[in-house]
Amino acid sequence: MYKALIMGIALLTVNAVLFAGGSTDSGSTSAPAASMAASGEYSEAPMLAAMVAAGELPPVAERLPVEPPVMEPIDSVGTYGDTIYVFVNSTEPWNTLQEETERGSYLAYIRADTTVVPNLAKGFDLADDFLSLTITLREGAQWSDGQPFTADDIVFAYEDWHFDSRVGSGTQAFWMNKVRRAIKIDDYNVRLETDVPYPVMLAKMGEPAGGDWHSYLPKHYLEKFHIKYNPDADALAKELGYDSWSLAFNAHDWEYQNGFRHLIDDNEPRPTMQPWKLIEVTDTTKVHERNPYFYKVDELGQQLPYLDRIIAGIADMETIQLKIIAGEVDYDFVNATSDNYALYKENEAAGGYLLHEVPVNQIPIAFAFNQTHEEKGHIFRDLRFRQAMSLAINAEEVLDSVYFGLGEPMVFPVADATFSPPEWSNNPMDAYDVDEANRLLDAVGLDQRDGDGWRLGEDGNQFTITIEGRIQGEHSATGKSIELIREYWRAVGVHTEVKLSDNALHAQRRDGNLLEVNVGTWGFPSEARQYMIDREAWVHGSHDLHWATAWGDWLMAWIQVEEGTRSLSDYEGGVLPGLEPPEEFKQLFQWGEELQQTVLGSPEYIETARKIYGFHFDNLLMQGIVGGQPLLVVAKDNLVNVPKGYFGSAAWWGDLNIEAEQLYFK
Amino acid sequence: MARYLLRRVAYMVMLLILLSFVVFVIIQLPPGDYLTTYIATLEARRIPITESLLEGLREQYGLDQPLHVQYLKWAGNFLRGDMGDSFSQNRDVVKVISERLALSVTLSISTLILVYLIAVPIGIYSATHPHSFGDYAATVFGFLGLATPNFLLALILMYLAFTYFGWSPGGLFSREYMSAAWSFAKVIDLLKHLPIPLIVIGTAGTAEIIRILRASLLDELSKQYVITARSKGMQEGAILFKYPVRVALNPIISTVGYLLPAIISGETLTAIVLSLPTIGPLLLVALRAQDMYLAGAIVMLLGALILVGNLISDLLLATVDPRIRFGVRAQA
Repeated sequence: MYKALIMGIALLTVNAVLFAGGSTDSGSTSAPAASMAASGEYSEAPMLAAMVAAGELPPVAERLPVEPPVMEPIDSVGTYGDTIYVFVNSTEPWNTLQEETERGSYLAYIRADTTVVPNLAKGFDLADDFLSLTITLREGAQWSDGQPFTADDIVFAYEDWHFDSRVGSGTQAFWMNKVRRAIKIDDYNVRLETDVPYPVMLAKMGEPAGGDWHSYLPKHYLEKFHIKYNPDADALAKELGYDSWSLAFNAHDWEYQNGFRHLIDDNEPRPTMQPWKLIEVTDTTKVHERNPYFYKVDELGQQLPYLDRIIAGIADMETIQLKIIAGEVDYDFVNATSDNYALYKENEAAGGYLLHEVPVNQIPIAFAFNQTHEEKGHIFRDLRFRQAMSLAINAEEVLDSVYFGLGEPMVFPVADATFSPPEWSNNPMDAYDVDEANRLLDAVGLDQRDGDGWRLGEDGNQFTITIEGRIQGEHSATGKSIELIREYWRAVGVHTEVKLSDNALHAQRRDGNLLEVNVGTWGFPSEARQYMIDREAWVHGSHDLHWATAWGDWLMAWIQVEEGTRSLSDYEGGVLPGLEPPEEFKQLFQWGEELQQTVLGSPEYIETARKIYGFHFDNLLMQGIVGGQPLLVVAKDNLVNVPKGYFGSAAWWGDLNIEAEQLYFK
Repeated sequence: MARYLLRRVAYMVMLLILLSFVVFVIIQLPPGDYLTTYIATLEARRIPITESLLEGLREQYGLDQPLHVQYLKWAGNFLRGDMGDSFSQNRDVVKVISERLALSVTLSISTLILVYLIAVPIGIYSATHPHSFGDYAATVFGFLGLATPNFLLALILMYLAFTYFGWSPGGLFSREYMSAAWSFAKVIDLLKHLPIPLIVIGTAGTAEIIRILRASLLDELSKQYVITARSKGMQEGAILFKYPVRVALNPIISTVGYLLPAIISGETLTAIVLSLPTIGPLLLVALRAQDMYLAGAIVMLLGALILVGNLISDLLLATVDPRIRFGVRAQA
């Protein structure tokens, strides 16, 4: 069943017209709305109707675009309601339902069959040579303060933010690394241009790269902080308590910027295109209230979102678990953990909630040996060693004892992708075979043992490895799994230690190439996601799972020099940082670059993807243990339009929120 | 007495200066600074940050300067009452702390009163009725209370309270009142949420005081002067409260020294589990994020309170116990 669902969301059908460079616009979906607009049949929440009556707000028809996008309901068209309560464990963003208010409102959506459906934007035109993408915006769409949303907001985001090194966020290189220019055609048309074919940019319109704080910024609000538009920007910055205009700019360019300064000090919320706007932050709560200018409607012409406000209480992680089973949490998918699965199930009826299992192929625990480790790298680079360490692990036992059998043993987690040949569905390393593990370890040269049975290294000392993870992992089950791994490895004579450190320390050890084995959570929710943003993981290791820190540093610098965005002199001593990888790994990196220039689902794509993933299939650079796990979503039993299957771009679990404006209570 | 006070205050000032230095260095001990922590957090969420922004921030926060310069700047501002801005909240440290101060103090003082009201009578009863059923019951409670980790007790109590009484677990308010303005209904809601924190935070304290009081009172009761008083036919109650209880209270009075900071910071772990918006959890968050000025200010505040608390408890002891008072005079 589970595999079937994954298959279902995989990219079996590719909208050839779209990806081959045809144009797309909202077409038929906006037709009913257009007719409603003509006859002025839009309706709005009672809260807003009262404001209109009091003369505080223009009528709803004037607040909506000429052709608003019409919601495709997950379950049904809803009715207006007031508050939804969620719980989070800090004021940081990236918590349940708050992700939406920060990354949502993507210019497009990507459907399960990979078609790109316009959302905030009206349509897209990807050039035949894949060197440019024209985005058409909706006339009459407005920011939450009633100012028009236009091509200027996109050009501003690129030219005055991404491409301006004084304020650039770094997200450019990360999310849309080949876009070089953003050109305004007219108020509602803007063209992104690249120097190399970059077809992936269309798909990226449906993930965070196509959303707020990457693709567009409120120019009318931010220009006063930018020296290019306001010669007195420095004075303004000083007045507000910043050392320079660029810091003032950066403190306001993002709704969630450190400390919500814009909200607390300026008393002027940053305009947003989200369904809700942040209106209050304290130590114990965060409150979002509906955006009266939100651009989307349902098929009855009701302006979205359905719910007036989100109140997020801030509580300890364990307390949140109690609040979930007590039925106080209306909606949660960030704090619900698979190791509490039985607890949630047991209290489902009493708490008045439903536990949904969204199939996203989550990999709750995976590990990687640092190929570039100075002292032990030569052993980690021996395939037999990595195979032995996989064979030594009893994945079934981990699955049953930590994860209640949710998922399946999975060393190599991409078996069901379009590019996977059938033989990838079974990796011989999925097995649990202690004898073979011992034999392989002996063969690697770790055949000498001391009196206690620990294997000795070449230097005659005990061969010890340290598993390192981050304390602040989002899944507490990680810790339990790590304990088990340590015991399995000790059972084959490899003396294993566990070290969990804080994010910062972990990052520092990683950047210093000090990690030996690192563990993390990981996922392969959809092929589209791998294609769009998770490429790094396969070509030089991701943030979560580093298998070649020093090679990654070298490659990332090298490609920038190759592309001319930086020169050798930008690096200390005029040499590339990190370590130069062996040829086969340079080749792997190149395949990654080539993959971005192919169209998802095309023969070239399949051929290149097969090379990259095949390399990993054979070489076990990132080793899973348990995979295929669903994401747990807790939702009150009367909450409607909760995503239960494929959702959005699956760029991040937070994308579960990209259609949160649909949520309503029966 | 005046000279004694003066000397104590002088010591306090010196200790505070030393403390400020130690605090500053210790907060800086973990690798990196606030920004590396911040960046690591962002990175964990797939948000990279550019070098230029980083350098700008480092300059703005003064993190690019050598440690001693940072220290002198901080200490100088501190003396002028400016405790700096919290990095993570981008606000004045004084504001951040004061927001939580009222709730912290209310909670701690009500717990404290509860603890004394329960513990002192039980302690006296235990000592005057040793090896009775009541004494054994109090002893069992005392050991259990001392041995149970508070955060565990908190979790269990929250679970039981919500399972059997339907109480909302954690926090000080039901979700409807979380962000509501103060009203009568909100106060009632707060009162409904107070029992668990009071019980949890109070248990260990109560158990401790019962044990201390019982031990010291038992000691006193077997002393010659009590026997003499009894032999002279004094009323049992009068003997008890006029002499041995007063003496036995000494160790409890000397705990005032560490009670003061505890009132401010509260039980950190318990407060985290119960999601109480007190100072304790704030300190933990600040330390983890290396939010230097916020953590520094809280630790300095707690340090100062320990010193003041010690001074107060010494003065109180001198007032309550003439032996100590005379000792001071003889010394001075």
